[in-house]
Amino acid sequence: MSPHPSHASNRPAHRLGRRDLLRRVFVGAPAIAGLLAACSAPAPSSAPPAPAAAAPPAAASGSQATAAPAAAASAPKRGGTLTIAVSEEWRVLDPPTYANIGDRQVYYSIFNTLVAADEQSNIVPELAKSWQVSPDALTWTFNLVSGVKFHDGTDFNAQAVKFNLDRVLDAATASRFRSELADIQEIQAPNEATVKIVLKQPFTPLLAWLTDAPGMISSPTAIQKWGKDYASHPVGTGPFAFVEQVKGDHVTLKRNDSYWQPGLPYLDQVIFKPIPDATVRAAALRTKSVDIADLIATSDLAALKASSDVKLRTIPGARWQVCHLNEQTPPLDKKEVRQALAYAIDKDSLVRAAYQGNATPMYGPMSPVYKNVFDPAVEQYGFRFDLAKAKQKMSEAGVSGFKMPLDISVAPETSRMAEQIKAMLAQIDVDVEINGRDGNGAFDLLGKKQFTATQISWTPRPDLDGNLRRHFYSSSPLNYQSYANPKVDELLDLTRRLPNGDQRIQAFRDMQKILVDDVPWLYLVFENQTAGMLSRVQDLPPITDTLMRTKSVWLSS
Amino acid sequence: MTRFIVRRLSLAVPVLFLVSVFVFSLLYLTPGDPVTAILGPDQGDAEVVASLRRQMDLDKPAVVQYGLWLGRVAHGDLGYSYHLRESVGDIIAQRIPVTFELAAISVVLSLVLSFPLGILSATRRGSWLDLLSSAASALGASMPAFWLGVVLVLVFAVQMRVLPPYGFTRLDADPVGNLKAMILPSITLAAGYAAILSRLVRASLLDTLGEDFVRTARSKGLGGRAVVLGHALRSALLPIITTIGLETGRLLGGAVVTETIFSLPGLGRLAVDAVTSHDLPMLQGVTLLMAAALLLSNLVADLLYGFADPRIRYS
Repeated sequence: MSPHPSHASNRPAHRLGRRDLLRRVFVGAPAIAGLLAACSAPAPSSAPPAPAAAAPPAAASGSQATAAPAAAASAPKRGGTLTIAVSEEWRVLDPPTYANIGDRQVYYSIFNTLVAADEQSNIVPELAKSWQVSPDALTWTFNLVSGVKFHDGTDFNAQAVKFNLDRVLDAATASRFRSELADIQEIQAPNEATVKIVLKQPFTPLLAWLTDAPGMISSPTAIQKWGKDYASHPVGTGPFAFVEQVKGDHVTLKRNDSYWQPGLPYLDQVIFKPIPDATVRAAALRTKSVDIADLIATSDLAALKASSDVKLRTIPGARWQVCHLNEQTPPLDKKEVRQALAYAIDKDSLVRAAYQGNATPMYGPMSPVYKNVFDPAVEQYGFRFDLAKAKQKMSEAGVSGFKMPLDISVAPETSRMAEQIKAMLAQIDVDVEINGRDGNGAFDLLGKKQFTATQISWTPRPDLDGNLRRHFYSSSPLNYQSYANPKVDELLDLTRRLPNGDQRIQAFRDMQKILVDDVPWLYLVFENQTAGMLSRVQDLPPITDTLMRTKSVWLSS
Repeated sequence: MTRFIVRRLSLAVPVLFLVSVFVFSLLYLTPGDPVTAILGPDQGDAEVVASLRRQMDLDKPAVVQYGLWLGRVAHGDLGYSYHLRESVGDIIAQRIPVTFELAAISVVLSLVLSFPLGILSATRRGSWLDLLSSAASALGASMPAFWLGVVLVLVFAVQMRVLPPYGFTRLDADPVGNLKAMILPSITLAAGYAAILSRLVRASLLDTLGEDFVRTARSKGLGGRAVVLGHALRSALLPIITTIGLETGRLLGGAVVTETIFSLPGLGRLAVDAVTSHDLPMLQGVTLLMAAALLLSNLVADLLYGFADPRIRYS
């Protein structure tokens, strides 16, 4: 079908027909091609897809950010506009209902959370100045800061907190966090300054979740006033108030002059600009048209390192690449076969060839961003490249080579990595067939369990529980690879009950040993996430979720 | 003439209908789920998913979904984008000026470049100038926009610091800033277009220059310039106009890439986002608009035939 209708004319006979003419001048089928391109063309060389959409690390851990040294110990200066180039566009400025990386970048400037994560990923007070857990671990009591007002002038209080949390739990809100907080029985607001969260069963990760979007408190008045349009009129208690947005172009925030934390914030204005192309984002930083650019591509690192006007902030492990192995598809049901695959992968080589060194090998499912829990011993007991052992495991399993379709979410690094894996596994006679997909497509097939092996990336949840339970608990609907180990289930239950502390850390570490040996995933690499900023940008805290906290930021001249 | 236009416009309706069916089925058949795109790949419990499917009409059979959409469009409502929480019509209206300006500047730029180049090549066939222009258009046609765009940014924004590397400034807010921001994207988009047009001008003009009426004009003593510009070029215009009409489709397709590189908030980038998030109402809206623009540009091209060649009459 051509959308170009035939025309009626008494065209002179000697003239070339349209078709002949077009054929002569190498113009393919531009009309339909143009339309198709409009429908399907992927953004070229854009940032790696961000499928593991939600959730920062916050709770149990520490950051390893190599923050640029603060320029001076001088007192922060007031004023100025901070322009931040972000790789992913925000869509909806309403925390419970949309929370991709692009949205959450903006949220933290407009909203406060009940509790917050500091640079060491300890949980510290924010809108809740203190909290207690009942001895049976079923009631959490939060004491709120008083005298806080929303940007619309209404009061922040316990009723507002209850309103917001109830909203998350209401199925009609369609919040992705409802399932995360399913253990909540009820929210109570006994007085203006006290909120009680009553649980159905002990749920230690609760506190960490409240450092993220579920803990962000909107003005109930504004939510009721705007209804489904609230996302275009967000009102929080945060350091900056929403001014305007043009989707795809910018969102502008202005200083909240009556901010409740004394002296903060320093900036007059914060502007977020989406720049999906990594090279252009780095160029915008080099030309000083933005102050901060997130997610610097490996290929742009050298140029930025060489620039004296720019400093870099790298957070290792804030995204990781793994390969889910579907245990429903033989011979991947055999543990020995999965172990053989694990032995056959040379992770150091992946880091070098796919990431030019801008990543670290991954040996187990726990990211180093969970600093307190992360167990360096995993590098000793984890599977390392050993071709002889790989071949031995294959013969132990009685398998002599097989075909393995591998779905990948296409990005420059992931494609290079898949090619490497194909070559590595060919050495043990596994024939990898790479199927490139867009991020959403790869996840869709993963979710429907229509895959053999899928190479995909994940990002940290506020609590390690959020990363492990969903993927490895035998009855979890998100256990795509159909992995089941009763011992792991038991430990996952235990880590929900145990309070944060040594016992809980040990349980996670024990669990990791099993999850390494069972190989439900091929653990590939931890990516480095680097943001670049002009040297005049001071005191941007390196929180391990990589998101921008602007309240303490100031600009030196 | 009026009857011709009316008939052509009424033909557009079934074409647009088919385009919308095509896009709907295409998005329906590709892997990916709008609910997953909103809730994240691994979040949301059954009740939330169900609630969202209801709110987005996704709980109904595909045919019903399509019917509901069509019914709204018939009433002039392009629907609501749950992904952006805004009406599709509002968002598209915001984005049209950006893409329109980008396309318009690119077309003008291509015409300004390709006509002199094509004419010079045709009249000085085989000369070094002809070779140079052939080489330039081969280069222009084969440089992919995603590469050319980034190179232009690195040269003009990062090295020479004369133009901004990205972004859009509204024409009414800052006309100079607006033009500066549009220069690199327009060159990126125009490169391939100008290359094709200049080849076409050359080929078509060479054809015409070999014809009898040109020889007659020459034998009557008319100078080279008068023959080429006054007689031959006008006759050579017909296939060129056709291509300009058709190439507008390619231009809109090119806007997808160009707008992404330069972070322009236009329709192209909107289309990309709609595809990746499976935002069906938005994608339908953008595609319909692009298809309509294409049909319109073809209609204009057809009408221009009459001006280029007075022998053509519309009935």
